[in-house]
Amino acid sequence: MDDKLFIIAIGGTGMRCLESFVHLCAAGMFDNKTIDILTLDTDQANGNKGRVEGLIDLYNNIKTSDQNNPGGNSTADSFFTAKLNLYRFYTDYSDDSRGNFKLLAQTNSLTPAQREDDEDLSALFFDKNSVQEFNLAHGYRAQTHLGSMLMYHGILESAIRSKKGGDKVKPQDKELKEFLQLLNRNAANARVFVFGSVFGGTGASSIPVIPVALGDALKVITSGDNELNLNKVKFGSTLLTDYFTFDTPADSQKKNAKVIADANNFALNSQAAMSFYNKDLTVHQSYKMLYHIGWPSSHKINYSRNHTGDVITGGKEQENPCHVVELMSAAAAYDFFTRKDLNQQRAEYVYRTVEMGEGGKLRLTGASFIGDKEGPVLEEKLGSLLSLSHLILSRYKGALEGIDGTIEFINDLKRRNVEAYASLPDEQTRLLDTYLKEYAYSIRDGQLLPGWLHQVKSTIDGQFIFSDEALSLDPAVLQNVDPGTIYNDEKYNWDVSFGFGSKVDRRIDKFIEVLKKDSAPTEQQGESLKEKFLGNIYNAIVRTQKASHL
Amino acid sequence: MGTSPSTAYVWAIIISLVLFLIAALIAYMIPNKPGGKDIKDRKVWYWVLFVAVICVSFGANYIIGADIRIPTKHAAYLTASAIATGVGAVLYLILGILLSKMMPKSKLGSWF
Repeated sequence: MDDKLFIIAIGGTGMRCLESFVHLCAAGMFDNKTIDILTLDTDQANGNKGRVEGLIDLYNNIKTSDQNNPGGNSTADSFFTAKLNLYRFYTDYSDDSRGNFKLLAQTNSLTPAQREDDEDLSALFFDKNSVQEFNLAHGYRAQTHLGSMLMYHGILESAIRSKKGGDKVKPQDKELKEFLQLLNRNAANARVFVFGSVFGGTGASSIPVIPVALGDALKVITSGDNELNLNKVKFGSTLLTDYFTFDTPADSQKKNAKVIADANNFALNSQAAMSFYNKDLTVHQSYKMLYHIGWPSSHKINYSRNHTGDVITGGKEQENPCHVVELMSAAAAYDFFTRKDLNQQRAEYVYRTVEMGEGGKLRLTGASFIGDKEGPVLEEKLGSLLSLSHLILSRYKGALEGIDGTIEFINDLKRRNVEAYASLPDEQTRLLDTYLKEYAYSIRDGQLLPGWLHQVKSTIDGQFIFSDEALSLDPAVLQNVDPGTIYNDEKYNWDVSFGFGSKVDRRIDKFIEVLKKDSAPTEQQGESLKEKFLGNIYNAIVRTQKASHL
Repeated sequence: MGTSPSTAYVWAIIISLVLFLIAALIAYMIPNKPGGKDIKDRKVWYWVLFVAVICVSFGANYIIGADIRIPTKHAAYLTASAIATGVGAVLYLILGILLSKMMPKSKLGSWF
């Protein structure tokens, strides 16, 4: 029996890694899989959290509009093949009575002497005027010693509320409980992959404690009847060290915020975290696989670029662009979910190195992410979705405001007497346009708004699977881009038809002819009309390529 | 082949078939383009070649029949040429409609 797959994404970096993972699902990397996803943060309003949750909703709406079966069913050999179930949890610090550690730690039933002892004990671990008093709503701000305790506390507190029931149970408590119950039901063969960084706040605080916290929360919910057997529920995670930076906060901001993450300390934080993960017994016993992922310090991106004023510490404004390191993390999850044996008693640490070309330029291929065997499959899956993006966004002008590329494409098929998809409602096909814009790019007022893949490419100084033109940041180039020549490796590009016109026209001509005649969707590509439409396009793209591993 | 009226029919049919094949080849060689401009182009080429069937067929038979010295035979050949041109044109049309309707998703489906 296949293992049941779970993802837990924690903190801002965890959310962006999840975003990369969702795009891998959209590209069809997880055929026939159902994946249950828990987003975990201190901050419900966090921009990255909102963005990825919106992306998963969009993904599910593209798969099906059936309200009785949200997200539809898993399929194979197509786009959007995995079924994704989303659960949202956050440790709510928005209430004035829960805004910092001091307030959370308040108890009413203590004698003055006990209170004094407690305060002294707390002060030993957490600085009284800063760590105990900073606002927790924007995360743990690199104070992982505090964060680990509070995340554990937040999860247990939620489980206790769920157990007690009544009015105090919040929506996020219900969703955490559902996730835990699902984990419990599949405890015999579950794989759980945790996304988060080790150098920041919320993720770094949570990764060490999350298996234990979930196990203890399960005990609470089941009144001690069930606990997680960590030999059967297999956890894996990234050990993601610092890969971006931001400007040093001004003294005035430091003073107001009491504690604020300083990017200058990220490298030190990473080093301390590595030392901790190397020695900590709980981590060794809780995790089966830990994936070291890092990035050259000389290539770090500054996320404060184009932003003036205070350093963004969290909240709605924290909506950092995506980075190739997050795709590497998503690829680590792919590796974890597809590994045959995970029976080791202690955590196994793994890493992969990537090729450097002339002048220290990176040369990233599919193999750089998931190895030589599966690398070409990753390239083609991501490439197929990129070709579809260019077809809809560039060829049918869907990237521009007010033009619905997919509707134009379907109308075009109708003109050619392919009427099977003419009944797809406009609002449903617009969702595909929206997704492709998130995946690739859109153009507003002549300016390019890079989507995920273009953002990832812009973080790489060197080659990345696809041609520079296919991932250009110039709107003029993209408006005339050829969907059939996106690869650096010529053999994966589309074949041309015999006839008049430019090579671009003849490549697309070949694609349309294959789509009309030789690429009917199969049963395993889905039942709904939308799934058949996607399956039909997927088949046509793969069959128009000169060579394919798919 | 002599220059009897049946010759006019043979030439008209050959010319009709050759131009029909050229129309089909052109239809296949025009690449699909967004907005359906290619469909219009195929239609235009189909009707241009239809006119060509009429002109070439009658013109060719006119030249072939120019050598006929006997006025009555010459007149009979010209009459046959005119009817043969009509037959060739009808053949071109029928083949076009048939193939277009039989293969609506192919590029020939653009004709009708």
